[in-house]
Amino acid sequence: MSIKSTDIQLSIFSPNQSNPEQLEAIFVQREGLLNRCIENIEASAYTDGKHHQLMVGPRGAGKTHLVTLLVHRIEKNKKLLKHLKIAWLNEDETCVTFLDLLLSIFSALQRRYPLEYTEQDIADIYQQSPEQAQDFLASYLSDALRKNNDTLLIIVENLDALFESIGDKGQKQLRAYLQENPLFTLFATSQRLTDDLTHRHDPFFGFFQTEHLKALSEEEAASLVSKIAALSNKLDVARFLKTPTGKARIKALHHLSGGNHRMYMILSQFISRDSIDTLVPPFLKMVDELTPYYQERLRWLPPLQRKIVEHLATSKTTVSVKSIASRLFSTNQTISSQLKELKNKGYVKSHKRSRESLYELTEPLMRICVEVKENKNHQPIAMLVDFIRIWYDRDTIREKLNFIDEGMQEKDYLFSAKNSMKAINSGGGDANEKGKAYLDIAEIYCYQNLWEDFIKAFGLGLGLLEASSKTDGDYAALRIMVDYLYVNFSRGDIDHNKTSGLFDVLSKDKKALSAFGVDLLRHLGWQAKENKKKHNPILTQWVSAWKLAANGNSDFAITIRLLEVGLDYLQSHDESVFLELVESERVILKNAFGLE
Amino acid sequence: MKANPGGRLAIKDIIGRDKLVEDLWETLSRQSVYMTAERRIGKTHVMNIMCQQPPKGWLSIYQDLEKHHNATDFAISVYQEVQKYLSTKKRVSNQAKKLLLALGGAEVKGVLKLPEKADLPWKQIFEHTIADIVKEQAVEDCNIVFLWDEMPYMLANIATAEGEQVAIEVLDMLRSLRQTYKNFRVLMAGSVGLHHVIGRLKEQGYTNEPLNDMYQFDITTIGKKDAEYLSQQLLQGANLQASDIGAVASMIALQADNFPFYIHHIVREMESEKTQSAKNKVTAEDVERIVLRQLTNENDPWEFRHYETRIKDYYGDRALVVKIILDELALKKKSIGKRVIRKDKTTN
Ligand SMILES: Nc1ncnc2c1ncn2[C@@H]1O[C@H](COP(=O)(O)OP(=O)(O)OP(=O)(O)O)[C@@H](O)[C@H]1O
Ligand SMILES: [Mg+2]
Repeated sequence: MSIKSTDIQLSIFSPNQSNPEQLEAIFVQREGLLNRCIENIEASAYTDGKHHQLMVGPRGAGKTHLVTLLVHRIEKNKKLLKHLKIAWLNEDETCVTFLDLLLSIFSALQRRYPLEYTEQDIADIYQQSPEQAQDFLASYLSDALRKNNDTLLIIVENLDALFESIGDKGQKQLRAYLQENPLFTLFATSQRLTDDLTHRHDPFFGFFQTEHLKALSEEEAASLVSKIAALSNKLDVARFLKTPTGKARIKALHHLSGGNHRMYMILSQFISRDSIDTLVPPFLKMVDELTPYYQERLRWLPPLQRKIVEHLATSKTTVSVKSIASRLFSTNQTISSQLKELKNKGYVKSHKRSRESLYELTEPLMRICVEVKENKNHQPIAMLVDFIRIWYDRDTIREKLNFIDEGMQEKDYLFSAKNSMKAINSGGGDANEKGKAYLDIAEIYCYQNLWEDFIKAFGLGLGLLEASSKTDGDYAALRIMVDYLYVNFSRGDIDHNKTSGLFDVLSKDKKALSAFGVDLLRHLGWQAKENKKKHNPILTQWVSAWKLAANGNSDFAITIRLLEVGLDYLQSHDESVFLELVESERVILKNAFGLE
Repeated sequence: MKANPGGRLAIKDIIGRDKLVEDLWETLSRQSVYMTAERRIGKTHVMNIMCQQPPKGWLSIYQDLEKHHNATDFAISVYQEVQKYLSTKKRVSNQAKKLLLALGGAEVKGVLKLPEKADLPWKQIFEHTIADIVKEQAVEDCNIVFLWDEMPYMLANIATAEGEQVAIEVLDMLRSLRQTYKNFRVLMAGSVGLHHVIGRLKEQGYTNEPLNDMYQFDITTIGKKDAEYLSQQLLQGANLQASDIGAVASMIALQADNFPFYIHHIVREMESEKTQSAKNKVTAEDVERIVLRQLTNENDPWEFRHYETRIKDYYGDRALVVKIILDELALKKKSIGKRVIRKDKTTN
């Protein structure tokens, strides 16, 4: 998969095949890190000290991008190259023994320095026993480096996999080789820290300087997306990103991607489409592509651990040891020790809430992949995307509201109301246009606190619009209404009875109901932000009414969960209630409550 | 000097080991030594100094033995290493080589092609090899010491691959060689305790005391002054400024409990923090904060994860209580780096 445009070709899954200058052009966040890595390599080349560096990050966290730039910059440093050779191991070569690894180093050298390292040099080994071949190659390599006073930079991607396949024996041989021949500086990447690297009894304990690669922050992400746009000469996109909607989209993207670099690369192509809905198909495509990888990872787990992971993936909230144990018909001790292993392997993480630990999957994507596999119909992600869209388009609406409060006059309302009525009465026009006109009118009623009229017009409008042609904008009236309701709630002068008809309308339109739920949540958030200790009982009533209308529909599961936890928080003011939610939802809610 | 936790240091960057190295040579002049210490304390670096800067009258050879899985490999690798140090004349012909040739090895272009037999008489090869070098050195009144790193790993490998009996024979052979030659010494070390392995052999009925002629040397952290000096050097190497650099350095030494590996780690973390923020001055409080953050970080970036498993080994029944106390400490915003690291020292 790649981002294509007339003059740019960025390979998303193998950055090492992209033009490095283009990778430079979109490089964000890690300039400082990269410089430090290169300084360490310089120190290794110019002095007797040798650094061994390891970059740890999940798939798509930008490891290969970093490595590619590292090599690219070193290649431009002529002075450094006088003392440094590079062996960038081929990821696809399987190494089962230390001999395999030496061969792989040799062939990497041969690819890069065909005149200095030739097949002839080592032709003899194929007549030898493996042990002899290994000794021969080992001294051949170290002799060659010593002769030229060179240090060899060995680049290993997926060090965890290499260590696993060469095993304890191979690891010990490798470490002995490195300790006896201080001629090497390793630069490795890994998706996680395995026991091989962290167990006190294993040879490579504490051997590497480890860097845990961070996810992108929102600003860094914004900068990445605009760099991609600039690189592909999409000036309109670059401009779009500066608009409030553009910024809101970045927020939504940020949420979907969890700050994962590769996901931005993929999703950024769709950022300027009319609706964020268009993100769903590419997102699903990516999920499809990743699913086999996650399935593969699950397959390697012992059965009980696999069951735990699957359970975590399908449960909607974070889960305690006790509840996993009872679900899987096992004991607390067993589950607890399995969880510890899963944690070491990087599959799960936990948060402490008072006495108990709540567990969830580390990679949100893994969760989504399992979910998709189970659900076939992609509903959960669509819901999440939906939710995020509604959520992050907020600001635009607030702006509109302020504008109206300040400037618009009664006569303006009347003027646009008249126009809309004209449209409706002109007969012939298509249902959609009429529908939209009704919604405009509803908006106007709303500003005038004419609730019953509002509800009527709103209902008529929604009824006329075709489901497929409804856009976010069509729900603006609803949202504005909720904003007004909020203000009036606080004054306590809204007659609940008058607005009850609203739910009849809402229950006929899923999107409207969903939007309304999110709006209620937003108001809970405002209440928290404004630090109103006393929580508003009317709001609680509305939440209950809404929940009743949502009536256990699984599509609203996320919203219901967030509302419940949100109310909990308003009552208790205890942030630990959030831990019940899985991370992606926790972020949405905390954001709404101004807690991040 | 750049922070380099876990990597290889240039000799001049190994701080605070002069006295230890001197003591080791002094002891070696009388008897062989085995070093005990916990992981990452700097054993291998001490050996590096001794390998590269032997005093007059000493030849020192460093070998990392963890790669060997059978006694024959061990013998052959010592043979090969020794050849590099023999005089040209002796290299052409020596006892061990003669033996190997007799066993079916062949010499091609000055390189010995080893006999391709399954069971070579490793003991004999070993003994001849040692005899060759030791005798030649004796003529010059020179002592020889083998710096054998990761001896326990090798013994465990051999015990697993060839049976405990062979591992026992290796130990016994070495002991008898030490008694035979006045100018032959061994300095052994390993990242897992030698007594672990010997304990395992004893379970198999091994009753000899293969180490009782050796002096046990416990390697600990470096001195406080040296730790502060190291911290200061590393701060400078990282271009970190402070209004009171001495205070920052001594806080680093304190927090790391003078453990050089952790000193490197702390400074590296400070450097990485610097690249992320615009702030260019560091303080002693920064050190405390960074250490606490690392200790309570989920990723366990400094690999303290073993504490949990360790605790059980050391506190047995009381493990749970100890764990709760540690948990509490970890939650408190106090510097516990020192305490945690100290606990770790009971490892070997
Ligand atoms: N004297 C010292 N001065 C400065 N730094 C040191 C010193 N000794 C050790 N270090 C640091 O500690 C790290 C570990 O040192 P070394 O490899 O010698 O430990 P070790 O005891 O042999 O470890 P292992 O048990 O894993 O074999 C080095 O990479 C270096 O960062
Ligand atoms: Mg060592």
